[in-house]
Amino acid sequence: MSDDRKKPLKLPNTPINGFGAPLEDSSGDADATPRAGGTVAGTPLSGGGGGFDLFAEEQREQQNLTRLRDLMRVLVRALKAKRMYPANNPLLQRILGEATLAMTETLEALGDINLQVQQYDLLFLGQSIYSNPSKKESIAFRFSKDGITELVFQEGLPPDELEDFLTVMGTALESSALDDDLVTLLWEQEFAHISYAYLAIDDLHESGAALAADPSLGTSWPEASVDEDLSRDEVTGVPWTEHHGWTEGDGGSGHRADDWNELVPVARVEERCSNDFLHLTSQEIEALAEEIHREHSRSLHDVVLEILTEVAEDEPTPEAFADLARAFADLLVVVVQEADLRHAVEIAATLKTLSASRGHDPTAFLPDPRDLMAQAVSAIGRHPEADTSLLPEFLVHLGPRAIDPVCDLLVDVDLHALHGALQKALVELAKQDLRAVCARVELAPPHAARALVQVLSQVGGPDAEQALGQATAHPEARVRKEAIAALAQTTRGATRPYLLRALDDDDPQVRAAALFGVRESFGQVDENQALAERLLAVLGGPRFADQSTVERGAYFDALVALGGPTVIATLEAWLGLWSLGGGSDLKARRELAAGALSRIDDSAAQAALRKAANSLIPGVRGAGRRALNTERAA
Amino acid sequence: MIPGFEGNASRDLSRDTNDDAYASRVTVAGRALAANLSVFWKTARLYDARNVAYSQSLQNLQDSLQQLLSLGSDFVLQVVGDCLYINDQRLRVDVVGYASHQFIVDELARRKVGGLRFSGGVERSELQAFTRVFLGESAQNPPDFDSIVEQCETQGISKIQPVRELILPPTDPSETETQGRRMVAKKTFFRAIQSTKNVMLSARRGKAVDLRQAKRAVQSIVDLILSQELSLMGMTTLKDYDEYTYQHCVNVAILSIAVGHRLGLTKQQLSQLGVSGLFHDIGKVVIPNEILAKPGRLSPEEWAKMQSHPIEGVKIITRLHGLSPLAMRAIAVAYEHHMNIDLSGYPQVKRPRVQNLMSRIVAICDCFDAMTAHRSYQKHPFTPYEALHYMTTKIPERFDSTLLKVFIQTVGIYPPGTLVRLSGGELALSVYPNAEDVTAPVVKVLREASGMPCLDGRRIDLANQGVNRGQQGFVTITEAVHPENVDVRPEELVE
Repeated sequence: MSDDRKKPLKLPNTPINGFGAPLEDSSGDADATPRAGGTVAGTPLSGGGGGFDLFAEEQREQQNLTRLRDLMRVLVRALKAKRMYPANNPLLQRILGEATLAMTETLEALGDINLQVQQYDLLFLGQSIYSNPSKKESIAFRFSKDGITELVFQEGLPPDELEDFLTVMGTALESSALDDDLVTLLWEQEFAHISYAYLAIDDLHESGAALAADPSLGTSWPEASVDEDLSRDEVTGVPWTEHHGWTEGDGGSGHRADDWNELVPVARVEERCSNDFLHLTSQEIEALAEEIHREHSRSLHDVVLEILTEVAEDEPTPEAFADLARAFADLLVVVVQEADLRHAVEIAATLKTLSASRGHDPTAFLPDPRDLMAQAVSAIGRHPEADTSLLPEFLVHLGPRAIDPVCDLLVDVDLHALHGALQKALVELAKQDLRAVCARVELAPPHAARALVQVLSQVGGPDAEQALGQATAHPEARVRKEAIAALAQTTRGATRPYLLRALDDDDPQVRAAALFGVRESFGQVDENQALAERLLAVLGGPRFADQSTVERGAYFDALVALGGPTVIATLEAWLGLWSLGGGSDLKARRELAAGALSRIDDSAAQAALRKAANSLIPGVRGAGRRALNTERAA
Repeated sequence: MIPGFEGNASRDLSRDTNDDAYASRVTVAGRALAANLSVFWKTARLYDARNVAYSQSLQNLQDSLQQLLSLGSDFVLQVVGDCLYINDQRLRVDVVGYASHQFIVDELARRKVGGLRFSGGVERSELQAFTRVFLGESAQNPPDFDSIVEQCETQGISKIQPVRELILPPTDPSETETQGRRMVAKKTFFRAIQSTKNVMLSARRGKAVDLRQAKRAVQSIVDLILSQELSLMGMTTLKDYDEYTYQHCVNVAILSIAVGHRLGLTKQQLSQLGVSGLFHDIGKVVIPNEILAKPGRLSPEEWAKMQSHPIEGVKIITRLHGLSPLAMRAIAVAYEHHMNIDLSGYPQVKRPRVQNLMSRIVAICDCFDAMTAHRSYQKHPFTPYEALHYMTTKIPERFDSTLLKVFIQTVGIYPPGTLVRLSGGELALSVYPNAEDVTAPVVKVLREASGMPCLDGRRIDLANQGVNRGQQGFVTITEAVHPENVDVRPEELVE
């Protein structure tokens, strides 16, 4: 192998059919120095020794081919895995590890691996070690399509380089055929241990000939002929062809230097260029270095956004504006893919402003929010440093079309860390299209439905409360509880029926939440009276035995809030109740009644407590005194 | 007459070679022959004689042969060095025909065939038979001259005859290497022009643009410049009137990459800079030709239209293939390259901004190449030396002064294409700059001090002469010479 191998070999003017100059240092080398007595194009090479040696060499050759075929299988598998899994996937890591190991071992055993590329095959010393007739899947076809005729893996190939090579292959298989090909992508990588030879594109496709053959193309940008009339200076009438430039003294008529000068005098220069322009000072060199450094760190996103904005602002035609708007959208995709949410917000906002100023739907030019958000989430995963506090603002810019995708993301428990931001965005988006959010509550799984209920509670307003009311009938208790809790926050009477209905809910937590709500939101006097009687009936009835301490507390808290003669009288009655041996429910009800009376700001309640504190019945007396002490302490 | 040429074959054509119109017809027909011969050889390798593509390309070849034969009787298509001749008339390479031209040269050289003599009355069947013989069985092992002659005799092919390769005097190995490098540079240059043309014409027609070709071309330029190959810089001296627009773009790309290399930009940055340079004027595809090539001063309306090309460039690039980092760089350069460092240029911007580094580089290279180019309206353009002088003294406020210095250090104070007078009185052409000394380029002597043409075509590396400055025999440049004063067209002297 010659040293030239270390650089990409550019073969001159060799068409893909092989007609032309041979691969000078590839096929030549392979022919001249076949490794391990290999064969060329299926022709056995004479080993020059006896039959036994020939047999041994053939065996060794077969082993080498087997090893290479295995290597290709591992590489293809790694390529597929790389295209399928994210970089940190353990399975991918394992497969890449296997590929690296296989490559290293093969290079150690065989030395540099020099592969010839055919349309569907990769050949090693003339023998196929990879074959796949599928144009879509075959890596040989991809190499051959892009004009790569030879590929060499060199000893010492490090794992990183192999992985980068697979990345390039993956990119090439996915990228637009017009953007890049394997040659341009491999060039950019500057591989130290992978080299290749390739054909020029016009040799592959004869595109130049086709273009030349198209007369319309050939004349579509002609140079104007020098017409005698046209070639006169409009001002002086002097034929331009006779101008000999401006000379000091005659004023001259001058020439236009393409697009640089409308009119410029062509001065005959007799003096030398200033020496000032021959030497860079140390300050200039330092400033230049600083400038280059600054250029490297300068965001291209800023630059392009500024330019697109300047151009779009002054664009008079709707068609061209639409094109520019699409460029904004493209830029948005780019920054989102890099989790650059600051620019994403800026771009979306600018595009909306520009569109609105022309009477367009501000979101009409934005990319599909679902795709965009999928990319954003993926990018945020790859860029832990991304500032997700800007995510809500960005999502809001996408408009109501983003509601469904955001709701979908809320379903994904793996994105829990983003749920806060998503909810925040939904609060704003719901203000633009509440129905879209409401419609999702019923369909969403419990955890997402709860989040949506929380969103609705923050949105507020009659429509949101109505949606929350509907959510109180959700099959999932946690959702009902969340909806009741949200409704409990409102002071509007319209929500009260939902709370009252929830007092009969099967779930104690829902009932407790409803009780909390009703105690916070007073209704009409009659309604409160009815409610108090309803609560007292529950507490005085058999259901009391089934209630948890929390629920009992909630019921009594509600009674305290409601107050009124009936409540006080009933509580006083429960405080005075006793029996020999006494049941635990009786005691519990007595204590709770005492506590409730102590918190009712009513003289009748205080009187009832004092009376109990002087009772001859120890249990009643104790309950009354404890309650009074607690009240005093409070 | 070229020494060693097949004189008898040129007997009919050579009598008229002073006739410009006749020469022009030969050139046109010769180029067509080269193109059609190349296509037919390629097609014949791929398809059999029943194929439509085969018969069509054969027909085209026969037509172009008839056209040439109708201008005289016999003729020889011959290779000398890297050039194709019809008899003793050199076929100047143009961008479109470069690939086929080079293909013919390469294929003849591989078979040690110096040329092909065509006689009147050549039939299709003979063309087919000769092609079979010429191509041989295997692309890897083409037949050599003797074998082709023998086969032709055996098969009775008489109206197409191979001509033996010219045996040129042995050359210095280093010179051969230099020529090889120049050949690569030339190939790279023409490929770049072709790909620029493809991209621009596709963009103009609203067709899908194949950027790969342009990227590959720029990558090749970067590789050459990184390998300190300066021949490419010399190619920028070529100022082909017919292909100005595309050539200008390639020149700007080459000069920009060279400046970027001097600044220490990475390989990938150089590639981005090069592609941006290549497409900096892409917006001109929507500017009417009447304006682009208008001889004389532009009206205010026309000038305003001309000034719209940076914005049009942005629009075109955004329509290409999404916004890759490369496209973003190209957008910035297309938009800003006329903005000037002090923002006094165009387009006028509403918000304060800083011209990007790459835009500043391209601006300098663009201005320099534009001022030195021959256009329909610019018959006597600035010499490279004058252009530098003008840029540094008359309009320095437009450019980044530090980068302008870097540019001068890159192209030298006597940039390629500058005619200079040497201290010995010789007239010489600056061929390419010297990295070590901007005042001392590599020059090619054109005329001796006596005024007689220089016959040995010697080159002098003024920075590395083997004698020290001040010693006898040390050569320096005494002045830059205006081409009109010595009746020389430097652009025609580039090898």
